[in-house]
Amino acid sequence: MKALLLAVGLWLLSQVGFSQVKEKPTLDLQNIIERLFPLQEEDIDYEAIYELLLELYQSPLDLNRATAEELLATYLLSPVQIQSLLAYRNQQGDFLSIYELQAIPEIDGYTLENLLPFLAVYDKGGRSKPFLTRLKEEENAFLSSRHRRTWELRKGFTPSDTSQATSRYLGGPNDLFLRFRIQHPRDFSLGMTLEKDPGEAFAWDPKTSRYGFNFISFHHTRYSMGKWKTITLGDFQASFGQGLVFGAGYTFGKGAETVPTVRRSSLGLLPYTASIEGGFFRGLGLTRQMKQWQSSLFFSSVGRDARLDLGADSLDSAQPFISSLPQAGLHRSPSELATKNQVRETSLGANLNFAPTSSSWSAGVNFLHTELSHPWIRQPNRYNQFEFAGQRNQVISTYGNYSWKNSFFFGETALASSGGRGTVLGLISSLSKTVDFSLLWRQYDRNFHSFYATAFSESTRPINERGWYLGLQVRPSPKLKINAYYDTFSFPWLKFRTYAPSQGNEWLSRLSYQPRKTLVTFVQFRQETKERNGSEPLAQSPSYHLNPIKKSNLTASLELDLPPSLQLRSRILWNQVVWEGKKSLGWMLLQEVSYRKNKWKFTGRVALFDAQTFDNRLYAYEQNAVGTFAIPSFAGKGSRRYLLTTVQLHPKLTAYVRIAQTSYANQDQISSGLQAIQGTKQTDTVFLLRYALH
Amino acid sequence: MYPATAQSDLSTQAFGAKSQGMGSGKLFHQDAWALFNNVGALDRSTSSQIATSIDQRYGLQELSTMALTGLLKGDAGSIGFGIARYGGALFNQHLLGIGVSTTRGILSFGGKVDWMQTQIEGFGTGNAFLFSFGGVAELGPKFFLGSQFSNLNQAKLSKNSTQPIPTLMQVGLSYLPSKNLVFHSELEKDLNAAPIFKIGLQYQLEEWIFLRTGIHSRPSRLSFGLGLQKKRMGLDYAYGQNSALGNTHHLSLHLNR
Repeated sequence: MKALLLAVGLWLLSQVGFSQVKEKPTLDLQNIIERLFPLQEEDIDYEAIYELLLELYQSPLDLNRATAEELLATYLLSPVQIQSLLAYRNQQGDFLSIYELQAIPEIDGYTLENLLPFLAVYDKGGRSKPFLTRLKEEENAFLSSRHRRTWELRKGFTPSDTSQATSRYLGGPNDLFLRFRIQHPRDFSLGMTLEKDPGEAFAWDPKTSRYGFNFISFHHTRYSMGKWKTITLGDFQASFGQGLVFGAGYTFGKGAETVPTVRRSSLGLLPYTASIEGGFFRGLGLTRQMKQWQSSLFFSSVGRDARLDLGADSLDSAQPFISSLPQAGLHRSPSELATKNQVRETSLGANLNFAPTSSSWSAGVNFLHTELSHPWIRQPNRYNQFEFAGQRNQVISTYGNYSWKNSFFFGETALASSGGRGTVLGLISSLSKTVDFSLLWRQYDRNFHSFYATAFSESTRPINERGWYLGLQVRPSPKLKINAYYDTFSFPWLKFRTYAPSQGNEWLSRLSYQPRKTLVTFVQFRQETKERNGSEPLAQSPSYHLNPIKKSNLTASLELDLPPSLQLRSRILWNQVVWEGKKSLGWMLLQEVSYRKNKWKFTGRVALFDAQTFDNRLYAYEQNAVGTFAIPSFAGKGSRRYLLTTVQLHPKLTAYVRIAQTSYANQDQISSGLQAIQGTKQTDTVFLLRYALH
Repeated sequence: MYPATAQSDLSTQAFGAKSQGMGSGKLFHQDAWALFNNVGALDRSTSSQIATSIDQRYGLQELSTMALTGLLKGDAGSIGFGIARYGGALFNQHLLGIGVSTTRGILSFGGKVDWMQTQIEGFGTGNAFLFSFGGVAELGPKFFLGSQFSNLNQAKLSKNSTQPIPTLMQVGLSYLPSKNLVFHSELEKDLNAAPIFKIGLQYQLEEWIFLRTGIHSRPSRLSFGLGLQKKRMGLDYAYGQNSALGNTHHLSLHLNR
């Protein structure tokens, strides 16, 4: 039986035409991002999630060792598929090849194809060579350098207006990025990232911790060194439990994939590789494995941007305090530069995890102590009364996972030093072979302060929220898939632009039809109702009156592969916003073509957009150079086009060139403030060179 | 009081904790409550049944419902009889219904007459007769289509009142992907209100345990339910949550012949 399966596997290998030793199956990153990413509503930088997905992809799971927990973390398998995979492995012994998965009836062809990049069968032998030799021989070693620039002149780069003392940017408009990374799954990772944002100056100034580039990040992580599971030095993130304490900067939450993404897996200590200047730890982290126990401990001390104030009436105490903590990581103008590295954040974190071997449950405890070098005193406003204030915060939590039949239960409950609590409880379950279901309940107090939490929530942070989420996936036939979710939530305390307790709900349904491997279509509809301050002047009513705002979005998509070299992607986006009896619409039509020939690959897109109000803005994922990520939003009326060219100049050297342009029909200024461009067009370029060291 | 809103009129309520646990969908429940929910499904019950229920809403006695219903299944069809009371001392409604249903091939259908009494303290008492029809068709082993028209005659609360009793129509689809899983979906339209969408899911965990959940779109409401069936006796409980108003509890018991 085994021999036959192996023969089938080998035959398939020869058909697919790659050797498993060297090349990995190609990952359709765009597909995965669009499937897993939360539906975008705000201009949030998703680079950290993107880096994390790359991390998952670059260290495929060992199919013969992977636990249910780890398999769930791929977000590609349903509970019934995981249980049958584990049952098969227990019965038949180790897999000889990942293609042996075809013998499991619950795992269909499309699932298998999506899984290939995430799984591997590793040799059993240990690491015979010394570390330095392994480092020297590692093939996954790259040096990337990237230049980005907007070619139209922004106001910040114009000569200063001498009549008024207006500030300008200190540096030039070039965006520079340099990265070195070498890694081997489950063995080591070594990397360095250097970045200079547009407008920032190249300067050697230890006082503002500028050493040429404005942002410098470094990590060295080793795995499986005897009983030490992980030792990480430099920049890192932590992911344990459901993200109430250690969220590792990501949450998938509500997206097109409606069932598996509500649950988070404990990924442990991870190297930080993104260039977002916040949300990571800097120091030393250790994870030790002792049979069924695993303990992690880390220490971090990192400079953060902060605006320091002395206070207007503080004659007796001249102690400076933090009035705000800017997150953008931009240091372009003298004012922005004055915030750089003003505060030191010291953290001590710990995790203890207990997972009895071959049992159906695991549990753990998290603890994080954070201390700021100055107290944080916010400017009081209507809604921030219960937000964090002071100099130190502690948060402690306990979490657990339990699997039973075709269901996975999970939960975490946390307590912050303010007394605020946060709790998440949920389950994902296969109700039948074709129906998967998920349920999640969460409650976060208005004073639940956890700086690194990214647990499931409607708001951008898990605070001041209660809600229920129901997710469903039905696969009536292999070609057809129906996804749906419904989420109802309330915000017991005031929020930004919502000066009264409020509530809302959201639902989505998506019908995907894939009649054959080369044709993928879907239609997706989503509707969200929330409350927001009414627009009548405050003078006319003694208190704030909330009005509902209802947003509907429709997306229709068609992707067609014309082998061997052509790929087409067409998409229609429509939305409608109803606010105080007024309806406004947004439209976007886009057409993308990819063409691949020998060492060249071209991807071009043209799109038209027409969004009547800012609430109608449209988000569209765009392809970019490797390691570069953005989902831009479009408001107003205009057109968008880009061309991305990838060429392999040398077996070791790949170049990416991207030119993108947006032109607006109904406005003669783009952006505002120092970012303002006089004109109707904005042109951006990306030039990236990636060099493989070995 | 606004008797015309779907939540507070006895003639528009969903009956039985099974229905309440599945988003208040009415069309496909094959039990004695079909008399009130969709008389066309009455004959799809597998046996004669007697059932009673209580609905407790937002902790207010004035918004609770009590009901009792019986179903007699014969060779030619089924007959149902039921009585329900809703409200408190100042406002209350009584409903007395009798209906028949039969099955011909893939189609089950039926008709019902209700006598509804509305009493408002200080305003007096009004009476009305309502006529309703409904049916369920088996489209295939996994799909059912259901439809119902209630208060077809567009009766008013009383002869002297201009306040109409809601005239409702429901159309829905039921999908059974496997033998332990049922989906119900339906669209309900009141002549004078925007449509309501309901979706419900029932999962049979064991031979005798049923887990349910559902969504009701307007007002936005989420519900969960548990059903236990031991031999001839059955107990159903449902919990409804509406983030603006609070929670509702529903309990019903039934006895099969």
